[in-house]
Amino acid sequence: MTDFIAMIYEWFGYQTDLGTHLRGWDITCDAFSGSNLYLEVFLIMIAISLGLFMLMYLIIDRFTAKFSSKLSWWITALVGVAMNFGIAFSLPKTVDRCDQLIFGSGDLMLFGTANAFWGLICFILLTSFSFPRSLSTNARLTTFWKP
Amino acid sequence: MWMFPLLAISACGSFSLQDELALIAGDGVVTQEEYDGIKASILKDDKFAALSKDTALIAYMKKYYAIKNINVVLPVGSVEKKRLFDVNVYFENSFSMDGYIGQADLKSSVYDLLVNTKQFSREVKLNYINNKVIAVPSTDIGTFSQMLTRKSFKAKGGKRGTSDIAAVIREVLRRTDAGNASVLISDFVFSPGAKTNAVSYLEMQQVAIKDAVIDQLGKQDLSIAIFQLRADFTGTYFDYKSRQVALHQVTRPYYIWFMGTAEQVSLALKNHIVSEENGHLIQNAVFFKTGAPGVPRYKVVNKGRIGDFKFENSDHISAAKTANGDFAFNIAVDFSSNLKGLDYFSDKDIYGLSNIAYSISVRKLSSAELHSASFSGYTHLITLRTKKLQTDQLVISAMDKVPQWVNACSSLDDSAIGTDITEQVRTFGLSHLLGGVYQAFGQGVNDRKIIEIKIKIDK
Repeated sequence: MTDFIAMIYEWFGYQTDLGTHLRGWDITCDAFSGSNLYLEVFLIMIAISLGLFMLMYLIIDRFTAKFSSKLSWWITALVGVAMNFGIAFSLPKTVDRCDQLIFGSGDLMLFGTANAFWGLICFILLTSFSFPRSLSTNARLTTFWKP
Repeated sequence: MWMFPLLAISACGSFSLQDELALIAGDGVVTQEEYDGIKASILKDDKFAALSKDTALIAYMKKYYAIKNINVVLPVGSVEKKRLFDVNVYFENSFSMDGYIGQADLKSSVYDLLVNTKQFSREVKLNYINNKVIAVPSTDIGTFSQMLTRKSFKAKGGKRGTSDIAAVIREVLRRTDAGNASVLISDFVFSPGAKTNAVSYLEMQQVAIKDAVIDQLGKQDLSIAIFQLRADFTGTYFDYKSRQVALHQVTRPYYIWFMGTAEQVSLALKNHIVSEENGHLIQNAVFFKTGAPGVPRYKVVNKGRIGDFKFENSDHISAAKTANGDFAFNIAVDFSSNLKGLDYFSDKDIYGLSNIAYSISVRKLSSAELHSASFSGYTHLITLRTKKLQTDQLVISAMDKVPQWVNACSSLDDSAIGTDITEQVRTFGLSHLLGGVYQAFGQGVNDRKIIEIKIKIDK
């Protein structure tokens, strides 16, 4: 699982050392016994996508029919993009790293971009198929290209 | 909606070792119960396979707490071995030793050696040795060190005129067993005599020493640590033709041999039986029976790499790429538990590689590096470099060899010792002396590998 996540994220071209840190190369630089940040960030990204889907399609949908337009979809998606970028950019810095791994803000920007991109793709997929969109009343036809 | 249970399971199932270690150290003590809890969690996850043994987990915990500056008492500590053996000290008191004993250097070093030996042995028994062993009734090490005088040597008797080194070694080994380790102190200068071919004599002595050691290896688990020390020398030196040469205030080498089981030798080395502080110790060499090569703790490190790679594990790298056709990486290795000592492993000539396209260099880690989080617990840095990068399982072997200093300090003609300063710091026949020991420990061993390190490299 981690290898798959690492593969799709590392297409964005950040330093190998950041990838090593994200896979859990710990503070002692001896083994991958640290936090698996790839998995954590990925799961948080999925959770955010699901949360935003529920917020727009199920919760707000109960109170108003106005937030079911294409623009509403894009506003929700961009909130997700911002959240996913922010989490991926900041979370790796909160975990103690092996002192031999060298990466900087540029690499974290690329990782943040990767997470934001895959978060957007996740949200697109989640809202592209009739299920679970059909659980909504007013936004059951709302996708990123319509209505 | 269906993904929420999956996420919940994933989140609940994740175990953060470092978070747990920080948590249990909150009160400054890790109880046995807390330790067992950590270990149980570790055993459930393949990710922590390398920490499944208590020694590895304790080492990891110590390192983690040191890096995080957390003072904590751990439940499992090293248990000091009980003192279950005596050490018999044999001071070889032939005439050739008279030049040392008039000076303070040798006496202070012997006294220091005896004090250090007392710390890890049950009893220190004192003896002189020439053509026979002469036991000293007292166990007072201070008096023994002070009484290393010509007068007392003469009074103790025995034939001091010639020294058959092979016979001395055989006699001391004969008195060595699992309950009795031995220390032999001598200048180990062979005395072929005026009418004997020196080289033939040395070769005969080498074989006799080899024979004596092989015989003892058949009786017990035997290891030998040999320390070369320096001391002031004023007196008569007998060259290989038995001519007397007067030496005045020169520095001459002499040797202390510690003979015992591997465990006893290890204990002697750990307790610094020969102190390094007083500046008298020059070199040492350790010989032991090599079986299957040992595997030290090692890991690939990021520092100093040329090209790029990903870590798959501490001994497996992938996606290896060259930079301008060049590829290099480093391995941090902990040789501290090997009897050979740290200096031995700093010599790149002892290493062999499974792929000759690689070049190797090695150095001890600097003091600053030893205190860094990533290098603490390791002793050496091995650098491997190639221009022909390929997917490979690279095997780095350290071989059992006679240390380089032995040949550098050995002489086959000491007749000019009175005027040649370089000769004064050499020992006549040293390479034959240690050659015999080295050959004995290699008898019946096809492959003298003492260490093997394997690194998997995927392109």
